[in-house]
Amino acid sequence: MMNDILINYKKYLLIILAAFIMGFVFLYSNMPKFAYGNELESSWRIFGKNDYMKIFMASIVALGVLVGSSFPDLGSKVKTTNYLLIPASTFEKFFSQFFIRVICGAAIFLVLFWIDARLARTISVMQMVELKTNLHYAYAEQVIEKFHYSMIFLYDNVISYSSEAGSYPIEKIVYHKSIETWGLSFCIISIGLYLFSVKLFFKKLGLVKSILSLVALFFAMALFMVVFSHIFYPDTKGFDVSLSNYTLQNGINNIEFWLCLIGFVSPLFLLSMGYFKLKEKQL
Amino acid sequence: MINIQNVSFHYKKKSPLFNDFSLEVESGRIVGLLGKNGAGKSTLLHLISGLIQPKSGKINVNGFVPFDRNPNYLADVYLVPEEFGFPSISISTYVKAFSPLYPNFDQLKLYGICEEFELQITSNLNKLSHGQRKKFLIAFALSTNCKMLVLDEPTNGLDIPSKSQFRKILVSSVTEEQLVIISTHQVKDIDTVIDKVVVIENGLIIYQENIDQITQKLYFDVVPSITGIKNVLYHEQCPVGQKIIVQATDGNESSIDLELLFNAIINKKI
Repeated sequence: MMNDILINYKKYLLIILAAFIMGFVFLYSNMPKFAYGNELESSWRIFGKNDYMKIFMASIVALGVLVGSSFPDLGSKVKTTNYLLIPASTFEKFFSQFFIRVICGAAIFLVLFWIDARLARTISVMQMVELKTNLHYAYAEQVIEKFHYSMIFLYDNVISYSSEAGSYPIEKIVYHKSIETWGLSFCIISIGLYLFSVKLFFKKLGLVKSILSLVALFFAMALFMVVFSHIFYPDTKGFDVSLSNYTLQNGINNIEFWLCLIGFVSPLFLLSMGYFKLKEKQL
Repeated sequence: MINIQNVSFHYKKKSPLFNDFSLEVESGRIVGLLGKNGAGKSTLLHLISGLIQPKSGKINVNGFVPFDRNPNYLADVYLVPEEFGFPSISISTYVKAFSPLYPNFDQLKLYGICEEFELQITSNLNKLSHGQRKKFLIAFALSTNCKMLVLDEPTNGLDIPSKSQFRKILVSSVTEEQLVIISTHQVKDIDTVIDKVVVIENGLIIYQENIDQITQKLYFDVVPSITGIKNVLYHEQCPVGQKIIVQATDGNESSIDLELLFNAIINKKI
């Protein structure tokens, strides 16, 4: 792992710098720079959690690409020879890529996004002018909400209730935004891990073939669902998918739960599959 | 030490390259692995290095199964492939990154060899010529002091002085505990350094002999004509007459013409 960092540190620094700049530009360009009145009105559109979340979801695709571009040394026969003969165990080789691409990548991504969001807000707030007077807008800080991760990963309205006759302390229930954030984030990371692991199965054009196989997998899954819909719901027409929709505990929908489950569980399967493929990798 | 027993191997959708192949080589030798194109030389080197897995049979190198790619095994094997690539870094950075992976790495030896090959350690590897990069790779391989060095066409791309330097450095740096396997078409480049010849054809060993045994059995000479010479095993025309191989008699020994020997073996005259 250390030799990888020693050799590729310039590349990694450039990726971090590029991600920082692109994240900033993306956030800054989406934040408002003008106000249309001299007081904050409730009807105004506030740049808040929904806007941050959309940008966060779009940005996480970049993390997926980084994760998907793992094992660059398996791209050609010459590099593969060098890589396979490096005196390190398969676990070390696999883990170093996982650590650098997934763990460090995700951590740096979260830090960069936070810095970008705060920086873009600060600059946008400083620049915000009231259109009529062309002066700095006094309520600018309220037009753009300050970014914090809880606005993405948690509902901001925490529901509290006390249990019977004071026998238990007051409990708080925090509703996780399953499908919108955790589920989707993990689904995207799962796609990244799919590209991370499946790439090991192809000798040439690994990333391209992995993407094609992913598309094929989605089509196969859709087809599977259509077939099951026709079997269990005979009224289903054509390529429609019929799913019964009901609410589980804590307000989580069953389909949301199913998507989250795929997102959370598939990395475990994909990682072990990738590890054994690397172990059996031949020139 | 290499012990290959009844190994079979074929690439996907291709006819078998090795079928029931066996070979045993002791440490402390420099082995010349010779053969025509497609004979399976590089494949054999890849099997020995652990880059590919035999379909059947057993390979044991220094007590390890190569394809397990045990880190301890990999730290004691260095392959100089025919085609190679380097990251865009300086020689010193490369050494800093990779030398810790080889426990017996000798940095002073590396700098000594680099000096002989006229390589600057501050040079960027990707800005060097192919021949210079090859020289660095050979220098690095020798400096690892691995128990087994596998060199695939090591003299390809080297200029004439470098080929001579390579021979000199190789002979002076290899110890009794090491085993060096050199696969090459350019047999003249290695004829003074090897002490065992292995010739393979169609996945079979058709000849294997130690150099001292060869010189005891065969006599190599250049004569104006073969007329009147008895027991000529093989001859080839050359500018001054004929290059010949005859049975050695009365303890007469000659230096080996490896190219002539190879041609004689391939033409099934020996």
